[in-house]
Amino acid sequence: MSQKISYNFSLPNKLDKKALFLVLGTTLYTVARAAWPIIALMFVKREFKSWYFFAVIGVIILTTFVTKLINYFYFSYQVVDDELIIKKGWLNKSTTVVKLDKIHEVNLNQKFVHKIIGLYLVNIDTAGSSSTEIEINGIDFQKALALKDVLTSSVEINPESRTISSEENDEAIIEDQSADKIKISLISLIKIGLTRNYLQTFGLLIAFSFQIIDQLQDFFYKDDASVYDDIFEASYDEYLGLVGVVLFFGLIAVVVIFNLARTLLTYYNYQINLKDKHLTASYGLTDSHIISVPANKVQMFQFQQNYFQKLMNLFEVKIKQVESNEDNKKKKGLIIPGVNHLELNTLFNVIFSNNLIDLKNGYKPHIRVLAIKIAILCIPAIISLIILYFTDSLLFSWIILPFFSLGCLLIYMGYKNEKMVFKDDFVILKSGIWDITTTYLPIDKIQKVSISQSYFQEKRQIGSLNLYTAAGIITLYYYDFNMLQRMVNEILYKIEKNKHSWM
Amino acid sequence: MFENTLVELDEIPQYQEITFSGLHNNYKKIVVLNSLITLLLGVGICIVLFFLIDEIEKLFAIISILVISALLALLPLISYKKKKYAFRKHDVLFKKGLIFKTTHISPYIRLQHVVIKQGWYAKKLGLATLVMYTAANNFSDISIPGLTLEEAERWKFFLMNRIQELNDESENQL
Repeated sequence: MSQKISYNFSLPNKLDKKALFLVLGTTLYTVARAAWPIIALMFVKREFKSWYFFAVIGVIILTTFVTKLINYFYFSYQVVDDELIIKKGWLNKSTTVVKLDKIHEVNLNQKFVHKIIGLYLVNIDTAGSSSTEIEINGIDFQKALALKDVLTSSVEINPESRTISSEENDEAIIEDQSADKIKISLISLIKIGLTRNYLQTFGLLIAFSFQIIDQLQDFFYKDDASVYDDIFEASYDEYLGLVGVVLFFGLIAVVVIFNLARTLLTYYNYQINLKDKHLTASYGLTDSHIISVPANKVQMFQFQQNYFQKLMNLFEVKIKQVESNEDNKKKKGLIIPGVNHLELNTLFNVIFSNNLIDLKNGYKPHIRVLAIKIAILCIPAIISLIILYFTDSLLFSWIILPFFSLGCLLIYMGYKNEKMVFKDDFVILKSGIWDITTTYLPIDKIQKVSISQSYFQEKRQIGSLNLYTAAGIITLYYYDFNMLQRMVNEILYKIEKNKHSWM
Repeated sequence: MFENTLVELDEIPQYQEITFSGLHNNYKKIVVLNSLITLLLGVGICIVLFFLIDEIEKLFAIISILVISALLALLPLISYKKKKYAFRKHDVLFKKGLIFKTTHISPYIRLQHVVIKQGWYAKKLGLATLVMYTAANNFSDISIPGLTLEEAERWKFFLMNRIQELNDESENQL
């Protein structure tokens, strides 16, 4: 780990000089983001072109710039013994002290501005609340790497403060010494980009387009007319079918292209280094990220695959870590798009020093879950029937039928795909309708279990089990109750007997 | 020294076979008070609605609110008896639910911290709630209401000791 240039972190370190540009850039960006509707309005309507308006914007920019400048000059960081000390503020001074062994992960990120200047934003995540998350904005690459090594080295140097490290693990470390590297090629990235996250993107697009339509409407339509009227009028004509078909395929094409672009932008040039039970991933076209994950902090291992991806032997892997309590927006997890089965196995092996488990004989939920879910599906159907009845349009009630049967089909597919395996030290749950997700939950990471059975389930001995972890909940819904009870006993037994810590 | 002998399934302790202890009798008073407050709130909303809205359809809303608040008030009265707890050597168990019977179990080695909570009425009655937090984020705490303050403090002391012990053992194991 010897760097060419040695850095002294024991004295207070300032941010890089070039970070001044960063200050300027972020100032402009924040002001622009906050004020863009006003600016856009000004350009379109050409009414507010008075000088004081510009003066106000100028003052806003200046004050933000000055406060950011002060923050910049009064920011310093240093590493003394085993503590990271961050000092900031001019009038309100604050000092943050973090023990190095409390540091969870150190990530290097680059926004577009950073990329131009060639500086990095270092995010330091600590165990605990989000308020103790630390950002060091503006360090050059070599120094950032050196800092990262200093901050994370304590993890490797004194393993007694860490935890899981039995003899097997030590052997595994020696085996893995030959730094494995997984690189995701552009082709598999394109393949995965074409096939992933349809629903999510579709939702995003709809949200976007409504916003855009509303904005356009403000500008181009008078109050009483609406853009939807135009669309309706157009579609009432005889070429209704044609418009529908064109719209439908157009939408699909837009979704796919949007998806592809998003995937390529975020995950361009994806590389993973597997070294010393550490995963280090680097990726990104406009914004770069370098994220490293120690294997013993992985709480859950997920991979998903849909029908197309199955044909191409590609998986999307999600490595889940501790989610912070306060902000649920920022889910912590590392996404690896487009690895093949062999690489998947390697990844799994590095993290858990174990091979992927064959899912041949597992448990399935009780068949009654189908009846329950279809009964739930009946509620919207009945409601829409009632509405149709009261609006005297029962003639159209056949419309409900295809939707209802589609719902039934989806429920059946979900049931067919679901499977649970409890083997070795893992609870493995495979589920999903289109994107089939397989979740590996190591038993040692379970924080709490809750097993439940309702009055109606008693006769058939069905029940549900919730497994709570620091990275989310896994629910086994409608399984055989006796099996679940056995499972609970065994899980508790293993946790309490092994006494492995979960982090 | 680490042993890992072969285990038959029957040797694994069964959580189902434990005798649970019930909550303190005075806890009933808290439940009754809470139910009364819920009922009063419901009735209050109904009265306000009755005088505010001048249409005949208001009766539907009023009746449904009344029924819901009555149910919300009644259910805890029946189901509080189902709340039971047990402390084993390695984990804590808490059982509840009338129709949906749920058992929450958390091993001591996964507990982050233990807190005693007291509302004003509980303070008057000398009762306390023992809350045990784990690192899992949502709904992951186990809280046992209706213990006497003395019991709660003794359990807390026991738990703190136990957590320390187990953590030491876990570290020595390496």
